[in-house]
Amino acid sequence: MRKKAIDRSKCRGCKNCELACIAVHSAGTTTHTAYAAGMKTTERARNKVECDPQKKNFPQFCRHCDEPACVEACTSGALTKGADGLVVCDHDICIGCYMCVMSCPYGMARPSVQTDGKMIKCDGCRGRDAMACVAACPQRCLTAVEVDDPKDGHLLYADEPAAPNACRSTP
Amino acid sequence: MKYVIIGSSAAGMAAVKAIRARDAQGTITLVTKDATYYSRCQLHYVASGHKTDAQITLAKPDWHTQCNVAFHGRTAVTALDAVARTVTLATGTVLPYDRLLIASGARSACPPIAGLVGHNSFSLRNIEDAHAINHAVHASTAVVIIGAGLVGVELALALAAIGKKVTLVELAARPLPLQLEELAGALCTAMLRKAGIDVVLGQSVAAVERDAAGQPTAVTLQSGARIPTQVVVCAAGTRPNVDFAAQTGLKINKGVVVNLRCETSLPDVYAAGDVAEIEDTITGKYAMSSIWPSAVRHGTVAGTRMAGGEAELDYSTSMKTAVSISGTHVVSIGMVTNPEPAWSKHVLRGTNSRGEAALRILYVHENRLMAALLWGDVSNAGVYTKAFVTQCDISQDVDFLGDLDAAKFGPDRVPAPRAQQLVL
Repeated sequence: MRKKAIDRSKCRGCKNCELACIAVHSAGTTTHTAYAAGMKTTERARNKVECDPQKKNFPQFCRHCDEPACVEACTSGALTKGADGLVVCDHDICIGCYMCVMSCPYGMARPSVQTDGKMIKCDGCRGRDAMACVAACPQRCLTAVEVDDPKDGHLLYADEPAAPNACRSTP
Repeated sequence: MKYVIIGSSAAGMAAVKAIRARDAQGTITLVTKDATYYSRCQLHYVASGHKTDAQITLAKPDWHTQCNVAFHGRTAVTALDAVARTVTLATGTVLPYDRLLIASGARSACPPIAGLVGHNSFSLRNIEDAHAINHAVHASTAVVIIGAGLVGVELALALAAIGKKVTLVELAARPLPLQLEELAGALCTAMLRKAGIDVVLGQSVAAVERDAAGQPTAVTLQSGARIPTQVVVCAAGTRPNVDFAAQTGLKINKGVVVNLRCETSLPDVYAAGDVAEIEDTITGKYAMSSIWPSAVRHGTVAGTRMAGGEAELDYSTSMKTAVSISGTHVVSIGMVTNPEPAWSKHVLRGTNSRGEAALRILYVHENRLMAALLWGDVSNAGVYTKAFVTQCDISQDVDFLGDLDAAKFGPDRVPAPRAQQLVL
């Protein structure tokens, strides 16, 4: 299975990962079409570059947790964890109750900017050749790795040991 | 191993999944008043006709067969014998158990209002209630809803959206009195009125008037005001379904008392979901945690332990929920409605990604987030929840309270979960 490896010491906070995520999930899948009238993005990035307490960049992504708080919180059955380890949202089922938004400790279950009010989250670029955020990272802070075990979430942080239960641990 | 699970909603289904993840062979028997598996949080959409039963289903009707579970649908439990380790069903069947899960949920409370019980008077808890309301409002124009809690507000909005004249009567001074403080309460009232709902606050219902045929004609308030209506829906709180366990020695306060492992006072008997009462890890008071996410978590923990695994809730709080009011999203965490005087209140105003007004009301005490109300912009709400449930030090984040980031909560800043042992 494809996982995302993160070496956050390399992050410069350029936010190309955010832009690539917005683009690939918007209708035209380019940065040009990702902006609507008034220069508002038609999609919200499903990732975010934050600052940690040491004021260092911390690229924040969905971990596709083994015990996903978002899936547990989902009142409609839209959020599921697939056999490939990815936690994805079926937008035909999602009712936008936002219990997931309230429950994800990483803030990675996000409200859509669309008026339909549904939740959006990282889909691991399932079905795409490459993960958009990884492909767009100029620093090689983000890289894709192949691992056999779909357990222990979707992310590998270079500077911390893999947690047995990624969702209940902290970044 | 013989497992018996009472209830097939969020907690019961989660427990089945957790047991089957560890024990493929054990005998699981599921006893439930429900006939199908559905999303209780969407019943107001069925009541208004916005959604069909199929659209709120959570699993195929034969889900239990796929899970190798014996199913007793539309069946009540009448008795529990903790010595003989059996439960008795309304059908007369006696089921022995090695591990029992009580996930029987709650029912709508029925306040002592004259004339409330009768024709065209409903509550909204089960899909049968939603069908009955949907049928009744087809032939009616006016509906009075008693109680402006989550159920009352969501139902009022759904019925107003199909053109019904809805009056929402609430005893407290604001709608969603357990979720909103004054400022957000006023915003909510304005939104409900904009949606065409007649909101009556600070009033209690004295009686439901009925004609000779027994049909409701009006609701009268303690103030003497009279609201003509053909349909009444009572949404004034819930009561846990514990009647069958009353004489068993099972420790029951309001609900079945459990610890963070969802263990009750009886050996090998667990409880989960809306029926369970747990010590709130933040306030230290016993309380129900009656939201869907809690029920799933309880069911997962209980099921895992019943099958011999290790699991424990990392926290329990009765005070967090998310709600949507006419497309405005709200998340309420902690005692927003009844803050301690010592807490400092921070009101932050801004706009969300759609340019709509957003409000964040945060209560902070000794560098801990005591309560948060996010109105209009709930992005990152989970991070506020985490700051609240872990009660971690947010002193470095006070400047950022308007936009807490998960990265600010490193492992060294999260206290170990408080050890808790239920003394019974």
